[in-house]
Amino acid sequence: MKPVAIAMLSLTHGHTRKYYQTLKENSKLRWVAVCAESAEIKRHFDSLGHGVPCYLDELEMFRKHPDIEAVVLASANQRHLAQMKLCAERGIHMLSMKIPSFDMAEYDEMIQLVAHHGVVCQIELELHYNPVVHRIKQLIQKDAIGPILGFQATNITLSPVWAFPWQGVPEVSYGRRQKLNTSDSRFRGGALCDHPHIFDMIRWMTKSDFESIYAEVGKNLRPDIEVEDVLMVAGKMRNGVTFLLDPSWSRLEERLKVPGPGWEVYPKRMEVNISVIGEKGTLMADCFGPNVYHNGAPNDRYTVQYTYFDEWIGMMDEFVACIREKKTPMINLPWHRRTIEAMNACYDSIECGQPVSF
Amino acid sequence: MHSILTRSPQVSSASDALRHLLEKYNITAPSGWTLALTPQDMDPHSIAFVSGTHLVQQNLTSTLLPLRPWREERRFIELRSIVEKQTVENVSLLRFRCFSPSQTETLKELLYREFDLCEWIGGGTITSLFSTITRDSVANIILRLSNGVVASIEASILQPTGSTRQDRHEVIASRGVTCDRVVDTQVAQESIYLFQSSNATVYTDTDAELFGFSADVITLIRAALRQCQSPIPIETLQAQHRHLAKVVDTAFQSAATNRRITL
Repeated sequence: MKPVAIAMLSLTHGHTRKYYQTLKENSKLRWVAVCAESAEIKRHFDSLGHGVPCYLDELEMFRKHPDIEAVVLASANQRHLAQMKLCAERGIHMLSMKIPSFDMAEYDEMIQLVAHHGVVCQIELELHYNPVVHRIKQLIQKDAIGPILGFQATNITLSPVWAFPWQGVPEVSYGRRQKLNTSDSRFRGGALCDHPHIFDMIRWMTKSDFESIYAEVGKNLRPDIEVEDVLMVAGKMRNGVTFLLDPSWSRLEERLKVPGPGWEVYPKRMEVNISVIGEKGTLMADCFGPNVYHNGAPNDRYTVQYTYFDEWIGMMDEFVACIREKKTPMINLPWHRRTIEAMNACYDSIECGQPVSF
Repeated sequence: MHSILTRSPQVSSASDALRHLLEKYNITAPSGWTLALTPQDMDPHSIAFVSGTHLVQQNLTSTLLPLRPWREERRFIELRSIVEKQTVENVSLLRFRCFSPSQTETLKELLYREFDLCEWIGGGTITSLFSTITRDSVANIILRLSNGVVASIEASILQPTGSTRQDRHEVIASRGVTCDRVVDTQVAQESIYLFQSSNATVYTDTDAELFGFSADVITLIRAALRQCQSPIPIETLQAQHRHLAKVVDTAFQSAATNRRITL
């Protein structure tokens, strides 16, 4: 199979650095170029020594590398539509970050673009390629717990806003400046926007759709950011499954500009735990555990040192297969639309103080 | 349900899985290789990737590549990295424990692995040890590495049949402690607990590319892949094996003579 010539755009998304190793090592990919959002980001990328040309102008990159077949849109949410147009019009396949857009009209434009130009657009929901999640799906499929009655999940992390400032800017993260509600000075665009995984996963695991959603926002742990950082979500699926989701930035962090050792204040910087309650049994899972632990440098705090981070390998394998075999990705734009709608419904519920029905 | 990680039919055996990864990452392997999951799988006429533990009581032939698959376990990679990068500084003690069922390994095999982990994570070679062993099943050992680090190993192969290995690897330094078990716990945690009756069924899956294989098979495949990717000469591998086998013998000798022995 001819390797897919691939590039990356912007390099401003928090997941950017996760791709570097996979793009270099996977023989099904040929990493051709990147385009940085700013001179500072270009300097940093060049300093990593990947030997991949880095541009500051997307058009220049495409002009100089007409062989580019696919890109990773490693950019802020607000940039996605423009970049998708740029790529789709050139017949270039796309791996989009986890939030294509919160603006549903914009989202539908993306769906039309992809359909019109016949390109692959896969959404980066890497949790599907996590072996623990795969085991959960398999157990549910094998009826290990019987019909599902309840579902709880956390996707709680520290806040990335100090390292990736756009995630704290409502216009860039959510797409517009919209207050949480009339009596709240904060805006949409915070922790919720960072954590779509559990809203997607419940749909896969329960094989059902959202019926109603209620969300409540807490007092910010970080009073100096203008977006929400803690919230809770409860509701029901159409098949009667009751759920509780926690997509908060409830783990405090050191305000580092470049993520690295010592970022976390709470020992575990990221947690995705899933409980599924069925008529025949209950399943409890930690998708990123067990790990190893230390209280050494740089801050001498008890810290979880993660051991599992290879989700990007499987995800890129699927992306390549979709391009070469003309298949539709598991997480494609039309499928993902409902997940985004559900997240918007959380904001609507926070705004009106009542559950929102679908 | 759309399933991405289910192995394709051509990846139904460990050898097929290794072949698949070699192809995926464009890695060349020695011609005619075999992957020996058990001593019975070893073919004396072809290059055999095999765990060194299976060779602890056997003579080496020129085609046997004694690997140390546990070095592919992510928790050990991270523990070593924490020491190597001086996240914990000035290591003083290693406190290792491993209780296994005898159906899965002999005491010699268990000690072979734990001795290697002492050296690999501790960053020195074993220079002396004192050992007490009861009925070839239980051992308590204190050893010293060339860099002055002292280590203790609590070992047993008397865990009930069918139970999982219970181990713990703790590194104590003047700046910080690191461990593969969470603080205030005794037994290993798992990723998934499935409660269908009074006892939970547990699962810990760590490798998406090799999903469905047991942890021991996964690490052997990964070790073989690494050997193909960055080959270590067979003479070096066999010399390392002879060293570990000698440390194991020394442990039994120390127990028999009730003496601390310098290697």
